[in-house]
Amino acid sequence: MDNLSTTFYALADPTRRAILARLSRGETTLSELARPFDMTVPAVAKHVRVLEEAGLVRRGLRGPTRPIRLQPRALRGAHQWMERYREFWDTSLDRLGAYLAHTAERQRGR
Amino acid sequence: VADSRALLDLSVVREYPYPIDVVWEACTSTQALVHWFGREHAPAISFVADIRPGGAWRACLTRGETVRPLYVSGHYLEIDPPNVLVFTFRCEGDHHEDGPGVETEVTMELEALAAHRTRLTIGQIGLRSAESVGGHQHGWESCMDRLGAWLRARYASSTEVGASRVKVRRGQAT
Repeated sequence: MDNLSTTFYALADPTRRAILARLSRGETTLSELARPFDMTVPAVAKHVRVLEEAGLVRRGLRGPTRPIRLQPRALRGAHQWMERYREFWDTSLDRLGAYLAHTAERQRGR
Repeated sequence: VADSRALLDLSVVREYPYPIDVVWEACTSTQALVHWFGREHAPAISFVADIRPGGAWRACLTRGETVRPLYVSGHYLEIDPPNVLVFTFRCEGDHHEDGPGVETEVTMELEALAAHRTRLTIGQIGLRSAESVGGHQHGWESCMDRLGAWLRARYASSTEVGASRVKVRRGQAT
């Protein structure tokens, strides 16, 4: 899989998105991450591994506890991809606005 | 289409008729681990460990007199008593089905159940082939059977577990 597919595959799961949301508030352990979920710690570890392979999270290398932390830079590719469509809609909506304004003016003039 | 990598993990579950503290101790004491770590045909003959986050562990598994022993090792990532133990796991040398130096991650979770029973779930992630998943799955199943047998031999029943623990505490106090 290319990088973008790996990123979106990792994001295409509510548990993994919830894990990312938790990590956006700060680093933590697997044990702590698993607590709010109704699944085993090994099952949560598997989700973390998918996020790790997509480069979205990693275990810290220093310190004895080696906490899991978010790697937000890995989201840059996905963000850039979506940004192009945001520009498209921005432009389209601007043009729609101009069209509606023009139509309204013509109706008033009638 | 599912990502094939997502399938390459294993999880084995067992329930033991012993309180969670007893099972936790069996998973975090080298004196206990040496008795149940390793499969029936390749049991551990030594287990050395510095059981704290970042600490290293190493076990020597014997596979009969004619075959060289296998060393497995790693380091502890998380220790959250009496529920969660996470450590890295790799086979030293060229023994691993996935090639040398493949580091995997093992998670042990203990859950206290009713009537002083404990559920142990062992998961391993990072294996790279169906063959190694099968091999490690059998390995952990055998380990967990051996853990059950060791607990049975050590404590005849869960009521005696409580009694022996009280005795130990008294012994330490005097």
